[in-house]
Amino acid sequence: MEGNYYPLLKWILLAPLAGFVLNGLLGKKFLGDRAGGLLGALAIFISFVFAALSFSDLLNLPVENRLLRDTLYNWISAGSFSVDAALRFDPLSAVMALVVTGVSFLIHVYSIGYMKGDSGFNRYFAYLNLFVFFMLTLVLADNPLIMFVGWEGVGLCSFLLIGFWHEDPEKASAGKKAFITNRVGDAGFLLGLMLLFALLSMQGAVEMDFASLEKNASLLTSATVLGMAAPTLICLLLFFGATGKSAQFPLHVWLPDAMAGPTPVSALIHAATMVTAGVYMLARLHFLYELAPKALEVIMLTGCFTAFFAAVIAMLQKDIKKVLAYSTVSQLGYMFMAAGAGAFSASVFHLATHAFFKALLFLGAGSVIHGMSGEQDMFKMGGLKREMPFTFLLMAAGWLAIAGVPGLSGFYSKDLILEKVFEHGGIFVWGTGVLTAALTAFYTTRLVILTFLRDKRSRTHAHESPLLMTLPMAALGLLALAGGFLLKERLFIFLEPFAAHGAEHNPVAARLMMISVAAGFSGIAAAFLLTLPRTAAALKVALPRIHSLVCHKFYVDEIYISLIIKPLRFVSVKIMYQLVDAGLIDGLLVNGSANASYTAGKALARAQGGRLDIYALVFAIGVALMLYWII
Amino acid sequence: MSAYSLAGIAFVLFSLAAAGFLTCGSLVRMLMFLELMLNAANIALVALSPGTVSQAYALMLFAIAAAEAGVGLALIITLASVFKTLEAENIKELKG
Repeated sequence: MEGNYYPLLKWILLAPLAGFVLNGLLGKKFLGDRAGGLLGALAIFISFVFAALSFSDLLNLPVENRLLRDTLYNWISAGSFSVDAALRFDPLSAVMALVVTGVSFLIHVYSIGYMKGDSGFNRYFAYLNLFVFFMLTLVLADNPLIMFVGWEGVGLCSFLLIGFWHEDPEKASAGKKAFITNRVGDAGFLLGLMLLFALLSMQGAVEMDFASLEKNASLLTSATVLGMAAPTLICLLLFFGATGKSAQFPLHVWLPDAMAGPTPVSALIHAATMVTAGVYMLARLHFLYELAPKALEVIMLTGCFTAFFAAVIAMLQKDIKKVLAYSTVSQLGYMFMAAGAGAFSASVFHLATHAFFKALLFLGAGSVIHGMSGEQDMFKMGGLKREMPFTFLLMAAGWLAIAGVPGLSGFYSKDLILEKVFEHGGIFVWGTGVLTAALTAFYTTRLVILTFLRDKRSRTHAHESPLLMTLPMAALGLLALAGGFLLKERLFIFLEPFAAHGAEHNPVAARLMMISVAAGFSGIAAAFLLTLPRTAAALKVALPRIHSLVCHKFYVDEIYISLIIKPLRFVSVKIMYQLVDAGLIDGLLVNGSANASYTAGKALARAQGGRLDIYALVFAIGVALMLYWII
Repeated sequence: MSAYSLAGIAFVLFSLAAAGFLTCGSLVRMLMFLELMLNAANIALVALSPGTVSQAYALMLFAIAAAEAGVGLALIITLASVFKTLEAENIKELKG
């Protein structure tokens, strides 16, 4: 195959890894804050440069042959099963790699300002670089197993960074929650992979790289497992893994809690990159999903439900970061909706634009929190427009982009998704999507109003953030404003060079677009109206049930606690700990064997009393018995 | 005197010595009974097997008995100075 050895790819990976090693091993002692931060950002920048170089080389290849690969070494070889540690750079991974390294670089620069003076400064950058390394491993992997390595690695880094301030038990347990919830999903992912490999190798197809998988995927169509078509089952299992990583219902509970980490981490991992891994995985394995229309339907409905559900919760959150977290869950729902409709490129498009505007919003929120010295409750903010003008302007850009104002990035991608969903999912799913768009506009507008507009509600004097933080935000702001317009045609030609573009627009597309834009504007208007203190109080009184239901996030956490965590804890404490561990293992096996040898020793010690006369007697008896036996 | 009666004497002497060894409590007496047992063995050797080989063994046994008596007495003197007694049942340090 063309470009089977392309040496630049490994440097994309090695730069952040080197940054991790240097900052992790030498950081605190030898580098210090300034050099450590610079090194962290520089590592990502190098990675970005290599990704851009590879990208330009990729563009120079003929359209039908756009693929760069690099096999590093043979990773696993067992019988006929053999897996290479190989990298792959095709249009999809190129887009992802550029988004990941680009956004990461900006967030690294921002972090230098945000984390200034933190005692774990070097540790922070080490983790962040490690995260980028694993994320790029996931993105550039040439087979699902390497992808799984990255998949697990980003989960690990997410855990480390959510619990970054691990002295606070609440933050540490948020990290654990994220990790464990992700493990639940990972179990599904792993089962899906094993099933895929087992079924394929039974048919004699043992190569596991994506190109061969794509070629051999059709072998699966005739197979059935547990009365289900094999592709459907595999796709559902893999999708279950994606719901864990990408925080879709029912495994969305970890993402809002993940806001315990530093805000740049929320921007990078829990908005722009890691949580989109599920979407990327679907796009990467699209050939498999195309064989399983039923699984696609499940994905579309799950995405649709999650988008709506999370948007409703986001409407009433008080914590500025929680609003953005639920918003992320909701936007990821959009991406899955698109993927479920078979429009994988549209979901990747939304992934990219979302990475821009949501990272911007998170960084803006971080800037506000920084300026307010750690305050996250929006009801204690207000009127920050005057004190933080740059942050306000940039936040406003992110706000308008996510609200779907025509011409900005969120508008293009969301509109495209809604159009595709209308074609494939029907009026109901589309209607929910439009409603969610209105809700999205509502909660982001509410966030901006409560934070920046109207009267000041606290006496803390806020200060504008340093340039080191506002400049990366400005870059993201530009991308959020213009990214959609710049990418909309180019991205699709790049991702799907053979599909027809432009001409096949749905005739009702214009009308659909009008409706979703109207929904967005009505959401904005509603937010201005409903956040007035008088109307808000009146609504709360009028609808107390719904208010408390939404405020408690539909009690999903409580349901998990009573249905899963409590029984599990009961079994763990009563049966596993008290009966099996303390009783059986400690009592019977460990202490039991010790006791047995102690009593045996005590009994046998009598034979060795040290009394010479008794020894002599025993000896004589022994001799007599031997003589008797011989004679 | 026939060889059989000599063997009988040896047997009786050995039995008496062994019985004495087992019953008496003093270490010195035990050592003396030990010597008697060796001597009984000597008589049995000479009585039951005529010829030079057994006589040579008997001579060797004298030497061994003498050496054994020397070592034994030395041990007994040390024990006596440490434990201030020669009764076997009082000399013990093990707990069992």
